[in-house]
Amino acid sequence: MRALAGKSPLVTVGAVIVGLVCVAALGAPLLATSDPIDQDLTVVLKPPFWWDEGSLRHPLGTDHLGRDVYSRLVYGAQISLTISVLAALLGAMVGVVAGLVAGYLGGRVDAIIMRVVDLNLAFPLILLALAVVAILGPSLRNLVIVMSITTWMIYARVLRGLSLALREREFVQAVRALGAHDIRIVARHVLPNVLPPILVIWTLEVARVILMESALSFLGLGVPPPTPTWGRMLAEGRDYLTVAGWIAVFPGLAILVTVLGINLLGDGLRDLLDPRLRRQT
Amino acid sequence: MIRVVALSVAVVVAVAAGPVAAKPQGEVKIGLAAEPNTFDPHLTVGRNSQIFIVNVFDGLTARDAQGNLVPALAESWKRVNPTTWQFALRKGVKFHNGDDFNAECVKFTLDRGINPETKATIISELSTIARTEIVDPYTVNVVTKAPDFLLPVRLGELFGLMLSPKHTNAVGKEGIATKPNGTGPFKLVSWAKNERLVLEANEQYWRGAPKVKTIVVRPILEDAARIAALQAGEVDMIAPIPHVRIEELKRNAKLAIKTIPAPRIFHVTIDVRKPPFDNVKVRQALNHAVDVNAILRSLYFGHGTRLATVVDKNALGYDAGVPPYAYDPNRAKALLAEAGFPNGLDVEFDSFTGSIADHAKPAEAIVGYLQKVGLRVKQNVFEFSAFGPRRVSNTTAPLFIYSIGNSYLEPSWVIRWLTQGGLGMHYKNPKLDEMLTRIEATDDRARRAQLYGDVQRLIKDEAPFIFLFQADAAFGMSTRIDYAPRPDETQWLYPLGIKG
Amino acid sequence: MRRYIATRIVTAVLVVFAVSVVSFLLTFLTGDPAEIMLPPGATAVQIAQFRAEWGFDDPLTVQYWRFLRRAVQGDFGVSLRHGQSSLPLIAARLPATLQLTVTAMLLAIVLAVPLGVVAATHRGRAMDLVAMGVALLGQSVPNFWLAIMMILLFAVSWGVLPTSGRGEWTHVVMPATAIAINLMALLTRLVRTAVIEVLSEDYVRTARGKGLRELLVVMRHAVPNALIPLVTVVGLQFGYILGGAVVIETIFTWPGVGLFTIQAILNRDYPVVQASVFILATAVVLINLVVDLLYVWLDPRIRLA
Repeated sequence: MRALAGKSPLVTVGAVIVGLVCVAALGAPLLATSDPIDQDLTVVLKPPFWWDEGSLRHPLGTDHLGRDVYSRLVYGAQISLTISVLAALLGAMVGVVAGLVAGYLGGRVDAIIMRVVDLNLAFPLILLALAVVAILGPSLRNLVIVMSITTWMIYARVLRGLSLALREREFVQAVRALGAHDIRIVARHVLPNVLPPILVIWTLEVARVILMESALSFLGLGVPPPTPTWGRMLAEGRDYLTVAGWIAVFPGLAILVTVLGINLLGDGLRDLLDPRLRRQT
Repeated sequence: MIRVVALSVAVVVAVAAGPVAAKPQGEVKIGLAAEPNTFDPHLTVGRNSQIFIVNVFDGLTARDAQGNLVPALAESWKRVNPTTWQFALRKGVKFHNGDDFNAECVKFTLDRGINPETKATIISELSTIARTEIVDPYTVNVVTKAPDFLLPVRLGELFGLMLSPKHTNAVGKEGIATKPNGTGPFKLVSWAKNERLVLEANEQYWRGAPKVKTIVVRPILEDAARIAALQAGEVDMIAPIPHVRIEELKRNAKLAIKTIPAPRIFHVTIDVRKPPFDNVKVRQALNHAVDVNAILRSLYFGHGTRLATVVDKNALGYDAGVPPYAYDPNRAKALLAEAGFPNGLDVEFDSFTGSIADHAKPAEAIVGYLQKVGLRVKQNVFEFSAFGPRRVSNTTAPLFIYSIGNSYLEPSWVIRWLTQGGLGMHYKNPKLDEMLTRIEATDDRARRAQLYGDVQRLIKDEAPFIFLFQADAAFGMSTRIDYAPRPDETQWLYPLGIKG
Repeated sequence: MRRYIATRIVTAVLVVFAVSVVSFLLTFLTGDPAEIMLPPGATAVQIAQFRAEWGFDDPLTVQYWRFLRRAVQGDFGVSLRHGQSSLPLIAARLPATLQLTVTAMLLAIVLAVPLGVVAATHRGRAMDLVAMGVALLGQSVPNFWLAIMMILLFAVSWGVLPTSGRGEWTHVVMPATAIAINLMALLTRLVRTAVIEVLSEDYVRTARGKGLRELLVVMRHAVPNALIPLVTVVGLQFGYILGGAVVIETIFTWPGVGLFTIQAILNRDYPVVQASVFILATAVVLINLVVDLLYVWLDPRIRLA
């Protein structure tokens, strides 16, 4: 971290932001002042405390069902971050395996995997999301699945290129000549060499998935209520922008700042770990 | 009465010919959340289409500004026997292309509607018709399979828009979708889907020419953009307006915001087949648990009406003497305990997005209330098209929110539908059916209205639904135009005028 | 080389075919449209009748075969909702979408090149920080959120741009900006990296050493070199841009393919969905193909795998 921070003040900013969001996510039960899903229709659309009608009972105001925006925001950090990290992780696992297999084995397997990548890239996300929800039902888990389907391709592409190159490298050729098993070679020698770029891509993909969650929520395909996610809060607040802007402004800011933080951190990681990767991502 | 109408038309025509001719003039731009899917009256999908294409066509009957049934292409009608309605047609009416309107057109249109080859989407509303007989060039008999007291309503602006046989055959099935030829007050000039639709006044309209020469309709899907377009003067009128924006827009002196109770009845359907919801006490408990007035205040900003049952306020026979279930969470808990659930119960609740009205928001509030009396609710939100098949195949959660538009403005149709014992509506009661059958055989409106009182009391006690509300529909317009929204949601633009 | 091109074209066709199979399968699984096409009064019998009339009660394989036989002739069927042939309906909306996406791409490039060049030539200094900050902000903002904010600001508060729809050039400004913003961020970073790399090459250092003006060096050597990866990325991003256009077209009621497609998907208007997925997939695959071939042409060192 220190090595990172030394490089650029922006990385420090990124690290601080991500750190704060993680603290909010982990400490949500302690930090929240109310139950994030407890509605009270007698106090709907109350403004933040620094407005005249606001009060410290609801520091960032209340939404259309009288729920505490601050508490929803804190719990939202937990849920938004969890599903984004999970989706990016799931996508990374699938993509890394696909990319390694394609690059290492080459030939027909490679061709098939890369065409599946093309297919996925050419396929409308919304149709995919609708189909998954229609078949598996709306839930947090299925949203993670949908989003991971949209993120594995980039790992597959990058990893394929890297493992293609690594395959030809002398040390890999050498262990292979010694009779090592393919899986062993990949696990022992190829994977460690490609970890840094995976980490960088993964960081940036987490940021992208957070944005995607908000877009899916906007289209009504996000997490079912009353679960607070930032995307959902933003989508709900859209109807109240001119009368109760705070409902949408705070989750919007949260998304913006968090994604910014993750991107800054990702950039820093990239500079530190693998300057060559700049071109590819 | 009918003579008077004919006479006044004659006067209008005479005036129009004189020096002070009120020729249609000016242009009005309208921003709508949805546009029709087609101008083929037999292939319309959804109310949004039906309430708009009436501007190009006429039905045999129509509604006036108060929602009363009035003559249109038929000057009068009567039941000649239990299954036969006779319509006396208006003479001298011409289609936009000059074709004459007569009995042949009625027979052609209705035959086309019930012909399986048409694949009419609205077949359910016409399937009551057995055949249409031409009595003379201006008289038709419509024979129904069973007595149908609603037929004159059906064959009005809802599902009885009249086509010209010659034109329909000439342009073909795909052509009629975008090249309609009706007798209505406006002609469709051009239509680029999702972009703009242009109507022009039919100066030969039999009611007299409309006041506005050109109407440009722009679909503006996003609420914020639609309102912004009205505020910026890009359009002169918009519909609908989300309830949360009504008060704010009312403060704008350059705008007039008009609200009207829409005949759309919101309710939560309870699966009475499944225990514990077969127990009326549980169903009544659910009704006591939800503070519907608070929902109307906070989500609809007071622009709605609490309903005691599933009969809307402007419907025939609405009985104000049937009080709604009082919000009383303690009573709800007591009833649940009596029914054997002192510790609450687990249940799923379905709602959906993307239908004609917002159901997800009230659903969320209702679930919040149910949780407060000890129900542990898992909430599912579907996209409307994914929810439809679940309802039809009876595989919804035991509780789901829904709404039904009372487009016939007659409770019997709504109640029949809601208590059909299938298609997701599980409640069925032979006693209720018998009461409705008696009502439907009663031609005297006043007597019918009276009979609906007992129906409402029975439904309320049985509580097969969580009874909710009807919401207001809001229209926003610039003060330069003159328009009054209609209580049946129809976007009838004939009376639309420009001030000054 | 010729063999490589042939293989790529064949696989491109296969990908489009596969996309159509998968989309057919997925739409089939999302349920048939009977319930939304018919009014609530429809009875169970009438719903069944509707399914039979349109062939939705046939086994999946039969439906797919019927679809395929017509699709190879370019016939995707009549739209359930609009009562017109679906392919012409989609085709009629292509110009609007092209206008929007091409404007967005150009806008992104026009903004990204100067930003990236400024950042690279001022590497590590305040200007770099500002330029990269702008880029990062662009990458971090949810674009539908930006779209609504722009409507409130430019159309409502200031009244300088129209709220929605398509017409004069002013109509395209806000939707194109909303789409361009994320791409702009990506391209800015790309240009910066590329320019930095080129500036450190020997020949450029020589040019600098000869006392050529900084700006001239950048314009003559660095920018052209940066353009190659730029074009590649723009091509590869085309799919994402079309995807993003769906949301933006909805917000601005921009009468393009994206809006029409999402409406068709939500209404289960299968023939339109199929036609649209086919056209969009073809476009994406075609552009990827062209980019790949360009790449080979520009840089013969690339493995012909």
